[in-house]
Amino acid sequence: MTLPFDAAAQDAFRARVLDARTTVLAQRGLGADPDAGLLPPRLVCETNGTLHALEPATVEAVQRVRCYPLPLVSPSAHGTMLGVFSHGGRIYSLLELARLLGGGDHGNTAGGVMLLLRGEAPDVALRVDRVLGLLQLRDAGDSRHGLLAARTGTDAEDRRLAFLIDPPVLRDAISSLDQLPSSDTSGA
Amino acid sequence: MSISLRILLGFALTILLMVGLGGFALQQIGAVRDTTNNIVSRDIAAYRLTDAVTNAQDGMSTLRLVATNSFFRHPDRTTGQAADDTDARISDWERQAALTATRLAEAREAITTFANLAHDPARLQAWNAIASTMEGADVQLRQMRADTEASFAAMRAGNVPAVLAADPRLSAERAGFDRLIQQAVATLDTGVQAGQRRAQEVYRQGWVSILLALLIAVAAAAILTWLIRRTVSGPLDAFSAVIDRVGVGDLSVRAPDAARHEIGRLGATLNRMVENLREIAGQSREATENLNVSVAEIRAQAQQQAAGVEQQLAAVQETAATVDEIAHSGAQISRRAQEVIASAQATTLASASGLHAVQETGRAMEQIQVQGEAVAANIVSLSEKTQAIGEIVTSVNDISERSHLLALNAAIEAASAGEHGRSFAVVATEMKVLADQAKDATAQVRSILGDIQRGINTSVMLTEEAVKRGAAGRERTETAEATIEEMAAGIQDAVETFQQIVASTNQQQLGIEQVMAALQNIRQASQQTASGTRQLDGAALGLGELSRRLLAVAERFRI
Repeated sequence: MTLPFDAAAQDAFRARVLDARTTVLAQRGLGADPDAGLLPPRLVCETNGTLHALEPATVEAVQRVRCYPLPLVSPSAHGTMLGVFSHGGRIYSLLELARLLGGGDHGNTAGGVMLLLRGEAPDVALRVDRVLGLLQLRDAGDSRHGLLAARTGTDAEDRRLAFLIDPPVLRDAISSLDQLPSSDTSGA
Repeated sequence: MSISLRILLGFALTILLMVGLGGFALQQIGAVRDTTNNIVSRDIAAYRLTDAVTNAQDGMSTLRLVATNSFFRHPDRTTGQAADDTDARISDWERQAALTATRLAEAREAITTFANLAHDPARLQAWNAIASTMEGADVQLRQMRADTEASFAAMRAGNVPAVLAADPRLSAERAGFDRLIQQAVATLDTGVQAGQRRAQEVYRQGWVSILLALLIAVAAAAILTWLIRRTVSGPLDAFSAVIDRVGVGDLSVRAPDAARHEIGRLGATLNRMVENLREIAGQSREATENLNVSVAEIRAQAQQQAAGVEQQLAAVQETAATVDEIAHSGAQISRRAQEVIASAQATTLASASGLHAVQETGRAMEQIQVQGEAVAANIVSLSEKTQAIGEIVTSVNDISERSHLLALNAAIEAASAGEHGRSFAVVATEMKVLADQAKDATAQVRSILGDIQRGINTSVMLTEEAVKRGAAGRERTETAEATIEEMAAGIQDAVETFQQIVASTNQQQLGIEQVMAALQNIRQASQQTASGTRQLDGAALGLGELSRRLLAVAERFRI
């Protein structure tokens, strides 16, 4: 499952999203159990107007944004890497989720929350605009592209579509950025 | 060289030419005459001489024949008388023969002389031929004399046959002599013709010479005449033309005066005369023009003066009317001034009360300002309190956010813990709910605070505006106060001024009466001046007419 973020595919992606939304709306009031087909809760966050769903196991913590910008970054990390910060004695690199996934420029990288990822080095946190919380998601029927319907409001009819982010995909994207600072101080 | 001398010289040359021509003609005529005379005289002499010779020879022949006849009448000479007759005849013949020889010699000598004197070749040739013929005749005569003497000798001897035999010979000799003489005469005729031709030639030459000399003399006379004419008549014609031009009034002409003779002097004199005329005409014209200009100026001045007098009269009228009006208006001014003084005093009272009211207003404004400032101070403290509330709300919001994050983290941990974290997930959910409620509450409080702040800001703005308006009002009040005070002072000044005006107006009335009297005097004087100006204008008109006539006369001359 890959995330299409090149320009030509984005148009097709938007078309598919609208089609899926239409299908969901058309299924409203058909007497189906609104709670049928629910998936395990996912951590749903919003960035650049798009909802992303992450497995809770990939996230260690959620904090407010605080980082120190680095003067020199590699070209591949430019624009994606917003800076570094420390947490629990470790140095984390803060990355812009939208840029990381190739979603183009995010105009406002100030504010928002950080999702500290769990895992091995390098320690990375993802910046998003806001976190909606652990929400029940429903499969939107387009699992090829990782589209999942998420209930974002109290109203049963108020649904938005969210992307499920695969951890390997995320790791690959992070790995493609080189020269990320590491908290390994063995050689310091 | 003067003209008279030239003319004299010309005439002298002409006379000399005529004299020369006459002399030459006379000389040519003399030559012709001489030539003719010579030719004629010589020819006549030659004819006479040949005639003389012929006659002498005829006499000689006759005497021979007589002698022969006498002999033959008495052929034998026995008688003495017969012999004496024959001897006498022979003696006569001998004398005649000598005479003939003499005549022939004379003729030959004359012809030789004529030949020597001859110039014409034909004549010379003729004379030479005649001389040659005469020489032949002389020889023939000698022969004849010899033969005749022989015959006479025979006669004396009584030799009749010899005598008879000699007779034909002698006749032939005589014929031959006659032929020679005739030949000489014919040659003389030729010579005469040649002489006639010579005379005609000389005459023709003389005629041609005279004609040529006449032509030369005529040409010379013509040239002289032309020269004299050019010297005299040309300038005279020029002078005549100049005088004609002067006669028609053109004084700009100039006669030729470059020559240094009577004509040149005459030209110079003529030029001086024309110059003087021109000067006089110019001065006359100038004077006339000046007179014209002066007359025009006088008329203009007179008219100007008349117009001025008219204006003066009109102005006097106007002034009188104006003065009258002034007198009336002076009285009115006085009345009005009194009224104005009364109203000014009333205004002063009113301005005093107005000033009092303005001062009251100023004090009220000041109080308003003070109260406004107090209100502003209250509002500022209120705003500060609101700000403090806002800070508190912010911190509460912060707490709620943190709580929210904490709840989120708890939920994440609970989800990671799986089944073991289920009860913790409930706690986390409740915390999240509390955090959301707190956030909602703070949002509401923030919204209310926002409204309060906006209201405070509006109140502050309104209060500030009220304070500003109060300050502006106070300013205007102070301005009004100052203005009213100024007005009061001005009114007081005006009252004093008007009182002065009243006094001046009274004095003005006295002066106006004097002015009226003066105007009357001016009017009389203006009328007199107008009549004098009219007379002056009339005189100038007459003078102008005169100057125009003079100018017309002067215009006749072109300078």
